[in-house]
Amino acid sequence: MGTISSAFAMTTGALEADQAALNVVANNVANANTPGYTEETPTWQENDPITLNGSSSGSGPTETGASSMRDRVLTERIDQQQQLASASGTRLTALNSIQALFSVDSGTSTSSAGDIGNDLTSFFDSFSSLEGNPTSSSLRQEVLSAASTLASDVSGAASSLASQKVALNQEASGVASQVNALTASIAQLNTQIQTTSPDSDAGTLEDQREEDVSQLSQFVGINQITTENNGLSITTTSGATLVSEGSSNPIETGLQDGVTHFLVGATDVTAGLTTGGGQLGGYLTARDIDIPSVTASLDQLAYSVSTQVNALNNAGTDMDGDSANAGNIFSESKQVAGSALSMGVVMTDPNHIAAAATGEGTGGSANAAAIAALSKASFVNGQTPSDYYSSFVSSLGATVTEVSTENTAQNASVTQLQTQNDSLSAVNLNDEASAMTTLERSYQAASQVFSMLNTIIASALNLGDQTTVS
Amino acid sequence: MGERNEREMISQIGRNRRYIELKDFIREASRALAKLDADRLSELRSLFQELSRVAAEVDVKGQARLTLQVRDASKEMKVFARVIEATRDNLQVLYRLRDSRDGNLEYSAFLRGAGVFRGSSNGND
Repeated sequence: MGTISSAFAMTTGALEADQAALNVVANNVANANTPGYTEETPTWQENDPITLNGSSSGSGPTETGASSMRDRVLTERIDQQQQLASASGTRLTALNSIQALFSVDSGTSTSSAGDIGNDLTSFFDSFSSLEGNPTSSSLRQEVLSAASTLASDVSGAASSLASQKVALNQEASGVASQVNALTASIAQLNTQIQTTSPDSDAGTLEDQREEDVSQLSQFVGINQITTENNGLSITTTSGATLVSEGSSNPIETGLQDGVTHFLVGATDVTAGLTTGGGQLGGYLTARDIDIPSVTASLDQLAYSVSTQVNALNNAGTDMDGDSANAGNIFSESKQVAGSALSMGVVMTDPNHIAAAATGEGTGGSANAAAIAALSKASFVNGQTPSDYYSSFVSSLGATVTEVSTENTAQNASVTQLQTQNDSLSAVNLNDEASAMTTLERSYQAASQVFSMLNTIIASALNLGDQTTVS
Repeated sequence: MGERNEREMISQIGRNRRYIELKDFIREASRALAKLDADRLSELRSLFQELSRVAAEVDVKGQARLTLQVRDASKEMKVFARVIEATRDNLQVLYRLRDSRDGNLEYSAFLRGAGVFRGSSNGND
């Protein structure tokens, strides 16, 4: 048994502890609407036992400070999903801009990338018309006019893609600056937390750090590593260290072949950042994968069409009687890369169009027919020019749809997790078990809805082969 | 959208394609799941039960229209499937968290070290 004084000490301690707990609750209420604020609960710690004459007795609890109701595993899951959602959202915005270039409604009726499909048809049709009246000056002029429109729209599209790439470069650099500001802040908070609360939750400081990490997750894909004394190290998903306890390593930018590269120290981390997630990942995916892919398709189209048409024109006889030497209609491309941007019409005199085949005389039309027939020839990567263009635009549309689907699902996931986190960390009356039950109920109900839909779909399509969630 | 209106819309499926869009209901299901609106999902479950019954009764022409709607809703169905997958993953994370708090997983020691469960073993038990 303890003494009377130690019993009093215990009672007083308990009262003090109660008061401290009330202060924590008051703080929660006062900060109910503070963004990023995490609910705090009082942490109780039993005092050292009092030992008298060889026997021990308890000495009551002491309130040792506030411990935030946070869960790093859940918070990291939210951050991880946020990184994916930010990356797909940013990429989707960029893809929508790219797709808008090739939308028929996007440009003027006379010249736009969206008209390339029609331009191809008009160009080859103009040779069909010329075949019917090969000496007509106006029809020859129409051929050059159609060629000019096609070349202008193709090079215009390539130029717009190049501009978008420059804009994405700037956006990505801006994000890197924001990342650096946040990592510097996190490093500073690490130092403060490790100094003031090495063994316990640091309350407001930890809230600030979580808020910074949450924002960082929107900008870049990261891994979080908890270190000793409540420290936190952060790396990119590819392993480059951004924060190591009290110090941060900034992401720096440098130009390489006109393209902005990202470095941590001396290491080029651009490729890792591209696949890593966050806005930076989204911008870099659009810049380094999506735009180059579309540009390469346009280059292939421009290269194949101009090379084939030039070759046939040089094989025929023009109105001046030049045989096998009539000249190029389109600018000559030495290689596929860059062909779209440089596509143009170099022929100025319509009389140099070789409508006649060699040996036919200047009034012949066999060569015009041969060029017109290119519209049905599979010379662009095994496809006709129009089919190639259509399939590349369809492929772009499918990519946009896929990324849109991913983004919708990822945002839904973030919303769910934040709801769960609110039940744990935010100041409200819902308890965690109730929130878990809601999630379970929602999942079960949704599964049943999906199952019914599957039945309806299988029935409507009469396939007997149901869609599965895998 | 009131439940009665929805039921009226459902009853039209297979008869007037412009009046009812299956994809809107699927989109609504994705939204409800994202917001964890279990009550709304239960309502939708009832509606799809009704839809399933109506779909079985429509004539050949109605069946063709329903098929068109189903094909038109493929993107929404894909999104819904992805949201369900994400929900299942999130549920797994939360189950593991619950287990870790209950001390059933090894990394519960990490959580105790973070200060959440401090103060339970120090003293004169």
